[in-house]
This record gives sequence, structure tokens and C-alpha cells, in this order.
Amino acid sequence: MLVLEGVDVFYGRIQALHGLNLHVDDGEIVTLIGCNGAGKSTTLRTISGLLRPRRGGVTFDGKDLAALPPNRIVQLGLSHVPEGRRIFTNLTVRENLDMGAYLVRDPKARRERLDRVFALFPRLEERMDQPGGTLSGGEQQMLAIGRALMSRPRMLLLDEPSLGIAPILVKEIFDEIARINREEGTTILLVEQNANLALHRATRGYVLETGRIVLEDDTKNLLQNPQVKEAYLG
Amino acid sequence: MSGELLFWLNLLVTVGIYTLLAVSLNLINGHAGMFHLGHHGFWALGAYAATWLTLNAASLPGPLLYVLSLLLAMAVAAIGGLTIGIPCLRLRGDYLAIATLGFGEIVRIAVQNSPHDFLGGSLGTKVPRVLMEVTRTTQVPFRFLTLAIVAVACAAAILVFRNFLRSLPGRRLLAVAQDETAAGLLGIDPTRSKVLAFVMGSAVAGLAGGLYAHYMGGINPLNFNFMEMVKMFLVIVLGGMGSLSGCVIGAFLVVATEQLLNRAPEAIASWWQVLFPLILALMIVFRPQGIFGRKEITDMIRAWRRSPA
Ligand SMILES: Nc1ncnc2c1ncn2[C@@H]1O[C@H](COP(=O)(O)OP(=O)(O)OP(=O)(O)O)[C@@H](O)[C@H]1O
Ligand SMILES: [Mg+2]
Repeated sequence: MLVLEGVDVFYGRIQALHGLNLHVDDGEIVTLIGCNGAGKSTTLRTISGLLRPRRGGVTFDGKDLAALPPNRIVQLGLSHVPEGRRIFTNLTVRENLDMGAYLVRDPKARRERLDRVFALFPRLEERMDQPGGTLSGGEQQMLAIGRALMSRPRMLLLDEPSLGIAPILVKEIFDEIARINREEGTTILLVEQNANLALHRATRGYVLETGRIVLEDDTKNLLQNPQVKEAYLG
Repeated sequence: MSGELLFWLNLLVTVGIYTLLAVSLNLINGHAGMFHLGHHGFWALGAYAATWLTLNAASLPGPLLYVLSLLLAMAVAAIGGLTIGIPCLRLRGDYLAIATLGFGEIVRIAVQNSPHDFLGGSLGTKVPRVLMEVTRTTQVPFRFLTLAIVAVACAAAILVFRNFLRSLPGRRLLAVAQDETAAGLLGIDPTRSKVLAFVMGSAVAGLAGGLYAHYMGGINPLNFNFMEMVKMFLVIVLGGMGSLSGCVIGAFLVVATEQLLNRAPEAIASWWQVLFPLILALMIVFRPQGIFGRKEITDMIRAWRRSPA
């Protein structure tokens, strides 16, 4: 479904990704783990069109993404929940969700999507008319995910949904992510520093170190891998 | 007596015209968060478009010509906004400010350097009276009539902008202004949202230009110099970036200060040229959210009613 082949990405003269190969198949939950600065966010930004690879190709269902701006890539059914949530703090919860439904023209379909998001995150419905900026960190993360789901994407890119959130809420959010995958059939690429949690939810994983993939395997095996245990699970 | 009345009528009409300029500038700079410094260019485009039609369609009945010339003023300014908006709005921050400032100055300089038989060139041109005959004795009713028209235009512009900002496309604009990247990741085309705001804002500045040309009965390229942009900017900074009703109060403060100073002896009068940029700088340093911030007057009345006395 999503394929990255030999992708090199630069920030000015600094190379952040080195010949990255990665693929995600329909229906999977794949996780990308790595330390601070490994290039996880850079990988997601490259997929969603915020950054351009200097070499290599990115395709989604065989379509080349390299020349498309972010707002066109979303239209193909690929939705990116960026690092740090970035909800619209001065718009209400409801309006934030409406922004996510920009591509859904039919009002009935919008309503259905909204009901679906409220079913997944009932807290959002309770806080519907509150400005997004007044939500707690965990609720803001739910809003960011809910907002991305409004367009009914076929694939969701999630950048550290656990960042800065109380452990109990993190578990709740990860449960919902698994449920989105199961019930909506949404394919998920999950970037996490919390490797333990991510590896328990995903089917396959990649380990990224300084812009290079160093390991790729089923999460079962990665969880047993002594290298991974020492560096990421210890 | 009549002199005093004329002074205050003139002041209020001018407040109305600056209100139109400020609400439209505020849509672009305050709500859409773009650093646009060429609003005087759209104002000039509107004034010259209205003047051109008035000079060239003299056979039409006066009131019809008045209305048509205002519509043309809006259309020409809107097309101007679209033409410079599409390439410029991809620029950010300071670059956008420089590009739009360039546009504003080019409009004025182009007219200034035109031959005198084209809209007066640097000499300026008279605008034939079409609304009613204006003589010494009919000045008062003419100013009252203009004030009524300008007031209606201000109310209409504020209402349209307010409803726009509450609509889905308006919310989209606020989203783009707050976080363009996040908006883009939701499928929103940021450039499109910004161009829409830019075109709406320039159309209303064009309307202000048309009203101004008919009111003054004559225009000159120097009416639309950069000092006017400074004044508009001061109005929205005083009134609050992102507050529509704040614009009315900001416009009153700026225009009243200028006109009252103008009555003072020459030595004092010209000081507004120093005073305005100074206030602007002080406001930006000490109270960048303006007197009203993003709030509307209606919000404040509601809050004041709710709070125990
Ligand atoms: N805008 C930028 N300009 C220059 N360098 C950048 C920029 N963004 C990221 N980098 C660099 O690129 C590398 C990868 O950064 P990236 O944000 O992808 O890391 P990450 O794996 O997401 O880390 P974290 O877990 O801290 O979010 C880092 O060395 C970082 O310093
Ligand atoms: Mg990151």
C-alpha cells in the first residue's frame, strides 16, 4: 500500500534519512521506533508531502507522492497526525473536527463521520463547544486523531501519540488506535518512543537509528531481540 | 455654526471610510494573519476605477452611475487582489510585506507618472458630482447623504465579514492562520483560503476608494501614499488585530486626532506625521493585541452584563 524506496532527505546540507526502505501493507499496524533525532518524524513528513526526498521514491497504492502538496496527498486517503498534536486552539472541538472533514462534501456523510469519532472518543462529544486550547493534553491528542479520522482515511500516520500524556490515558488512546484499525480497517503507521507499548500493539516494526533502518521484523521477534531489549525496552 | 457642523460631518464620513479600510485590512492582517502592507494600493485602484467610469459614462443617470462606479471599484480592486494575491500569498512574513508594499507604491507611482490626460496623472483629477449637485449651500445635505451611505456600507461590510468568519470557509481561514501546516495536512488548501480573504479585503478597500472619490469630488495620487497605510495599520493595531468592532473605535481615534490637530496652528498640525508612527511603534511594543484584542464589543457587553456589578 505504502512503499518508500531508497529515500534520502536533507535539511539544508544535513542528511536526515539515508536510503530508507519501508513498506506498509493494507490493514497492518506498523511501528517505527527509534531514539530522539533518529528521523522518525522526518519519515512521516516525507510521506505526507511536508518534505521532499532528494533521492528515492514514495508511492501510495502505486501513485507517486513526490510531486504532490500535502493537501493533495490527504485526498488520496493518507492522513498525518503530526507530532505535538497541533490542534486549532482558538476553534471549538466541533470546529476542529469540521476542519478535518474538509474533503467530505456530503453533509450526511459528515454527520456519520462525526458520530463515529464521538463513538470512539466520547470525551470529545462532552466537550464539543469548548475551545480546543482548553482541553487536557490527552484530550487534545484524541481531538487530533479524531480530526484526522473525519476524512475517513485508509491510512493513518501517527507521530508519538503518547507524548506528554499520563500513562493511563496513553493506554486508552492506544486501545482506540487498535480499534480504529480493527473496526474501520484503517492501516496505521505508528511512530513511537514508547517502544514497549508500540511493539505490543503493532504487527511489524522498524528500528531507525540516525536516519537508517537497522532492523525490520515482526513485533514478536523484535520484542525478543536482545539488541532491541537493551536499547529500547530496558 | 454651519462650519462646525461641516467639520464634524466631514470627520464622521472620514471615520466611515477608514473603518471600511480597517475592517478589510483586519480581515487580511488580523484574521488571516498575513503581513500585508499594500492596502493603500487597493484603495487607490477603487478610487481611480470609480473616477474613470464617472468621467466616461456621463450620460447615465447620476444615482445609477454612482452605484455602478462603486461596483466597478470593488471589481477592479478584487481583480487586483487576485492578480497579486496568487503569486504573493505563497510568500511568508517579511517577504509578503515587502511584495505587497511594493504593489501599493507601484499603483501610486504608475498614476503619478501617467500623462495628464489619463486620469489627471500627477495633477490629479476632478470627479464629476453624480449623487447630487454640490454647492456651498448644499454641502450639509451632501455630507449627511454621504455619511448615511458610508454608514450603510460599513454596517454591510462588518456584517458580511462577521458572517463569513463564522462560516465554514471562515473557520478554515482561521485554521490556516493559526497553523498552515496542520491545515494543509487536513486537505485544506492554504493558498486558496488566503487568496479568498485577500480578494474580499481588497474589494472592500476598493469600495472605500469609490466612496472616497465621490465624496472628495477630486483625487490625486498623493492621497494614496504610504502614510495612509500607516494610518490604517494604526487603526487596526489600536482597535485590535482580529476585532471588527474595534476598527470603528480605532478609526475614530485616528481620524479625530488627525483632524483636530489639523485645526491647530501649522507648527503643531504637522506633528501627526510623527505622532502616528510613534503611537504605532509604542502599541506594537507594549500592547500588540490592541485595545480590544480579538474581542468584539458585543462580547464585552455580554461579559459586563454577566459579571456581578
Ligand atoms: N527543520 C529542521 N531543520 C534542520 N534539521 C532538522 C529539522 N528537523 C529535524 N532536523 C534534524 O533531523 C534529524 C531527525 O529529526 P526528526 O525530527 O525526524 O527526529 P525524530 O526521530 O522524530 O525525533 P523525536 O523522537 O525527538 O521526535 C535530527 O537530527 C534533527 O535535528
Ligand atoms: Mg519526532
